[in-house]
Amino acid sequence: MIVIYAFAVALVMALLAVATVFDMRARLLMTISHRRQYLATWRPLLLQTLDDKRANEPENILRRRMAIRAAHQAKADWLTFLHLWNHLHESQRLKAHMRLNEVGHIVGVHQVALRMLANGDARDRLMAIATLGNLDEASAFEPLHELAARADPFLSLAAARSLIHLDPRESMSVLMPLISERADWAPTKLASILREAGTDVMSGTDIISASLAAATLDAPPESAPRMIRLLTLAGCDSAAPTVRELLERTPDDERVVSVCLQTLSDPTDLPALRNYLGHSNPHLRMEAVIALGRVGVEEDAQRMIELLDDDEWWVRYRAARALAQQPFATPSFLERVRDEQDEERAKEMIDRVLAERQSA
Amino acid sequence: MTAAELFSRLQWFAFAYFLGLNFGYLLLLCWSLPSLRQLMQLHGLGSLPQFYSGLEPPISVLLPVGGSGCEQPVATIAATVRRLLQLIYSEHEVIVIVESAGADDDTAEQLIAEFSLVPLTPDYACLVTTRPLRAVYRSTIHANLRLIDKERGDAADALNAGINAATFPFFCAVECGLLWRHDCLHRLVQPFLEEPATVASISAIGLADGSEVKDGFLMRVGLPRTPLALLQLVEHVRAHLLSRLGWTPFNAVLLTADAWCLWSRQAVIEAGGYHATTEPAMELVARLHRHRRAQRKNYRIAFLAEPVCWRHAAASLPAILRQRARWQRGLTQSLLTNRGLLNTSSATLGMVTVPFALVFEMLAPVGELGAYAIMAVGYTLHAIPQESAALFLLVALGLSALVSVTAVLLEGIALHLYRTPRHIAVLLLTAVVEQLGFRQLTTLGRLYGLLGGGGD
Repeated sequence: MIVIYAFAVALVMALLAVATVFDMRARLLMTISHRRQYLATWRPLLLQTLDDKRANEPENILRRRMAIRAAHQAKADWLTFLHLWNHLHESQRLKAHMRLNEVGHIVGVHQVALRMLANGDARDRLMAIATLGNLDEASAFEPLHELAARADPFLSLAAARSLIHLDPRESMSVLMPLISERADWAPTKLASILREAGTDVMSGTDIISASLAAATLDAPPESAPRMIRLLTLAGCDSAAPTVRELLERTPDDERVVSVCLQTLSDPTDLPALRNYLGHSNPHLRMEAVIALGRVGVEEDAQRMIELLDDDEWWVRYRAARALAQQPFATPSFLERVRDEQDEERAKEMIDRVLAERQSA
Repeated sequence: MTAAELFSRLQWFAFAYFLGLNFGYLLLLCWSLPSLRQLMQLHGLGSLPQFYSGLEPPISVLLPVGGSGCEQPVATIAATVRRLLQLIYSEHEVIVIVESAGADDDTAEQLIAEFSLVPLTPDYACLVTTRPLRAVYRSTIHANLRLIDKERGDAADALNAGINAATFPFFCAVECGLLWRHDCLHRLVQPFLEEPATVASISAIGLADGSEVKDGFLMRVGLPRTPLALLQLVEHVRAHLLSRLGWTPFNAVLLTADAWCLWSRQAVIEAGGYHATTEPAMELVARLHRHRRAQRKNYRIAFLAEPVCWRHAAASLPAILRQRARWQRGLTQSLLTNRGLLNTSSATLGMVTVPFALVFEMLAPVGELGAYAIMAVGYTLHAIPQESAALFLLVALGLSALVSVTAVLLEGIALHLYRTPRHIAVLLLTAVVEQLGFRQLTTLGRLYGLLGGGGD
């Protein structure tokens, strides 16, 4: 009897589970259907506001109609509306952004987004962050600033991006300290965000370059390499002079020097990088000869040739490649250099780069 | 004590084991409902107009080849690398770890030529100890492709070398022969975006048989056409998919055979990287639980209901049995190595999940086959009456079939991978047939693994 009862209980559990999932799917299908109808209503309305030629009625009446409709819509529909609104915002041109923002304010998008920012889950907050950034909602500056300072790397970076959309100049002053500290903000993502804000569209001046350069010079030693990389990735005009200044200030900090050498690309930097060709740290010798390959002149050929006999394999290899990069480094030139070398290891490196050149 | 008395008592063990096993799985199916609901809601959001984020964290994709990794022709490896480079994601890198089998193995050289790789200074810290590297290369054609040539070790050693070389905060390990969706990384990273304390995101690997595949990417899931593949699919749905999902609300997803994982690089390094076991990923999940709880750090290990990665089913019965033996061996090693989880601060993990895994997964071959043996011998000796034997079959086969049928229905309704009524009908029939021999055979394979067979 126990077994029979157990089987009956199991059957009931199974049926309840299946019925529950069935109910969930039925509700989901109803939700999707409702969303389709909702989008079929709102998409044409929003598109009409963007394009005068599409408008079927005067603009003020259209907007009033949208405001009334939005005021009576269910909470769940706001998510759908925000998806549509943000999607149009990201797919339309600048002129359409202003119209979308006007419509957004009329229907109350800013209030909904601020509520979602304060009370929503991770997805809701992301939606709210994107919305407030697109909306140019000034009242969102402080809440977004607070979110940018939180530990969550994804939401904080999204908040930083929206802050920069809202007010590039003002956001730089509040974000720079964070940028220095946040090693969890992926440099490539951050650089992309900063590049977007790089130029004030009104005045044409570079907003971030000076701020980022100053932050790099003030960064503590452990953050300096990351800031230098960020400065370069963001394409800042101030990168080269900042790197030069850092090299002068901290010639003995090997981590900083390594990153600086990777960045140097101006012939005026030659005297500085030549100093590191004989450094005791093979990594710095290697970075210096790589940089020499980028900006070196004919007289540097001898320096590269001397490094063909370095004790470190990677230094020898990079010296050979740097030499091969020079405009005067024809195959016959390289073969001559090889024949002049006494050490077998130097000759091997020339042979290697010759072979690489041939197979390229 | 007479034989009749002995078997009269032992038969209760047989009943109790299968009742406990099947009720346990039924409970897990019920506990998986909140996660299925969440997944269905996410599917619903997919019907909305999308807008670009682009801020997803970058991911390193590790592909160990040669030696203990993927023993495949270079052409297959190269094709896999190209597919990985084509994954649609905001930023990812591919790191191929080559362990040459010997002087005659020119896998590295062929890949170097194939992808125009040039030597690179290995300027990263060796955070997890591995066998020495020979060289590191970077492609001049694909800026996000690197190759590590290292001394031959085991699978864990290759992956640890990849972890050391990884640039990005998250990484996953792949194999040749897997099939992906173009947006698989985007889906796999979602738990990290929702909860910053997430240290691993796990997705069960689906079965690709019968599916539409184009240029190495899975375009549309289809139903397998062969009986063996169908049986493996039903087993997969019951044992790997929904039962794992049931532990998710309790942050107690533990054993992850046949799964694809995205890891937090920092968390894995702190836990000591991969260890040399038969199933390194499975052991790492268990160790992450143990390590994070011992450190009293807030963490989450998420399990994704919907597969984002697929493999082909084993084509023959011997291959299936070898696979089950390997998984069982890995499972056993993972549990025994991390048996400290029994003393963990988590009530669910220490008092429910781990004991369940020990009794109904690790010792399942002994329990199930032992129960069959007791009833068979007892019935033969007339120590167990016919009615008891029939009831045992109802429990062992009938209840197990009920669990499998329920799992198939839940998967069909919630995940909607196999959509047509014909698909569902075939799977339901297979769920019943699975109990009539296939399950018992795979249990034999698992017994072999439990006894130490099925190693690399």
